[in-house]
Amino acid sequence: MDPVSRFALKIGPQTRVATAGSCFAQHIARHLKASGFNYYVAEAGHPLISEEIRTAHNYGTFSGRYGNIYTARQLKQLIERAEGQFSPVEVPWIDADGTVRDPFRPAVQPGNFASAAEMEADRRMHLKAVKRMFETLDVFVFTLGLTECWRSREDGAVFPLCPGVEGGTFDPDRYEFYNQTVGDVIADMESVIAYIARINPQAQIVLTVSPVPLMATAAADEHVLTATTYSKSVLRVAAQELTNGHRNVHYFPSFEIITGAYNRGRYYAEDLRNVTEEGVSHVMRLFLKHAASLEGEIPRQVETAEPNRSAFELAAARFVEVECDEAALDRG
Amino acid sequence: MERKILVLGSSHTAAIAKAATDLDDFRAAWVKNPKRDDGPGDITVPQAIENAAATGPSDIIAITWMGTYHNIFGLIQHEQPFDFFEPGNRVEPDLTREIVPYSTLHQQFAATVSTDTFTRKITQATTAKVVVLATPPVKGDNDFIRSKLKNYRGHNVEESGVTPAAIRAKLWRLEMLCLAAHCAKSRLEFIPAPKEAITIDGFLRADLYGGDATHANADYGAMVINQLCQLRDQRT
Repeated sequence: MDPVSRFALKIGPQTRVATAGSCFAQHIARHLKASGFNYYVAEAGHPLISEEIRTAHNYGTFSGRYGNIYTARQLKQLIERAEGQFSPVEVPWIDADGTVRDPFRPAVQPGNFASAAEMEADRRMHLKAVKRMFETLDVFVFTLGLTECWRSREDGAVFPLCPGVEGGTFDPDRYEFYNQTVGDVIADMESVIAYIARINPQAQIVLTVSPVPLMATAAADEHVLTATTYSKSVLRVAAQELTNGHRNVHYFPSFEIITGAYNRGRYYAEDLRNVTEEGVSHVMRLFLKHAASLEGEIPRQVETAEPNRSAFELAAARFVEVECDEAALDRG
Repeated sequence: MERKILVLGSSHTAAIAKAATDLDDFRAAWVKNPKRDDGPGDITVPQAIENAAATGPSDIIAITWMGTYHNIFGLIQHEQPFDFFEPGNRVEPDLTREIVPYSTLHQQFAATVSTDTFTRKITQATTAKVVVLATPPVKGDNDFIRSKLKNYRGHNVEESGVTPAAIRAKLWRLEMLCLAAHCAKSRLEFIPAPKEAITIDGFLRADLYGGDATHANADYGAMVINQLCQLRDQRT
């Protein structure tokens, strides 16, 4: 099944492709790396640290070490923070053992930061890297994940997770739930698109919508199924509006490839949320097919299951684990 | 019954051996790098295992094998200069350098220390008490290091430069912390560097410098021997 009827963007081996977004975007990043394209990492970690440890510490998970960016508002504010236009009032989150988390990427540093000063130093480097990334990328792939977010009542800063789930302490006087509307998402993304056009006029933008359904909803009187439909519908409409309105914005239908009834739900793993490797491979095969600038220019094939792996390993490979912060909701 | 002390390990063993020439019940052997049997050293790894097997339950084997990664990692200035926050250290790192998160560095050093198979082989071969020695603290005098070292692991020292001493001292402390934790996990006693050998700034005392960039001298070796003798006396 190939639902891609028109995809004007072409990517060559030298094209710098940067990624951000929800946990599904991690699959895109992983496959871009494996396919030999120029997956652009602006915040790679120090080369003296082994690649294995850098990967475990979320260097290269995305092009910047921002962790999962679920909402358009989160992306917009990340840019504003990188540009020095927004300094949230939220102070670092201190865990019970005295280690420190960055409220805007609370799960990015395994073992947390040693001190608030270290966290702030790392954040300064991170925001510099984010700015550099936007200035120098050729293609920005952003996966819209959610409309629901938690934000500071004081200055509107949004968090990737509800405070208290993965660090921080929930306080209803300080934080509030907000569910973005189509208008919100379009306005936030218009701001992002305008920013990129200003600092990097040649840059192209690819929007996708994450097919991963919500694990839970904080919307009052909503079931998670209706909340998911709302969220994905809003994001899909917003993506269409933005694509229609900008020549440098392209929509890639990974949502449709995974959720389409044609596949009888087989692209979802046992938990009915995560996407199987088979599904991800389908998305990326089509992405590379339509985006590769010339036939045969895909540097190397995306790797699939190895021939000598046991049935257990093969079964495990079908459900590809990516780090979704939402999984933290289950730990409580 | 005579209680022997056997020190086995890397080039840092040489300073201890020099200080132990008059001691009958004390032997220190520099074990060759297993990848270079023709390299410097007194005995090979299999010979070290044989020596360990010849010891008894009342003896002590002190190992100095891991503990040099801080030099490999940071003696020479990297082209991407780095620094890091050390928990409990109030001196702020140089923020013009790339700040590597402490927990990331910690994991890197812990992973390296945990690759030690030599200590495990010795422990399995003997009934003696096995302890692990810290390596000497770093030298705070960068001019001294530059004067003694022209090339280090493929780097021209003059061109690359030496990493600022305060950063090197932090790396050594981090490695010793990881080594101590690894020993605790392996139920081995870790013997820290003699306190009297360390300056208030955390460096090796200048009068204990060996003749090169990284090693200590026989006076330092004598301090370590003293630590080991005290340990033996406690067991008597």
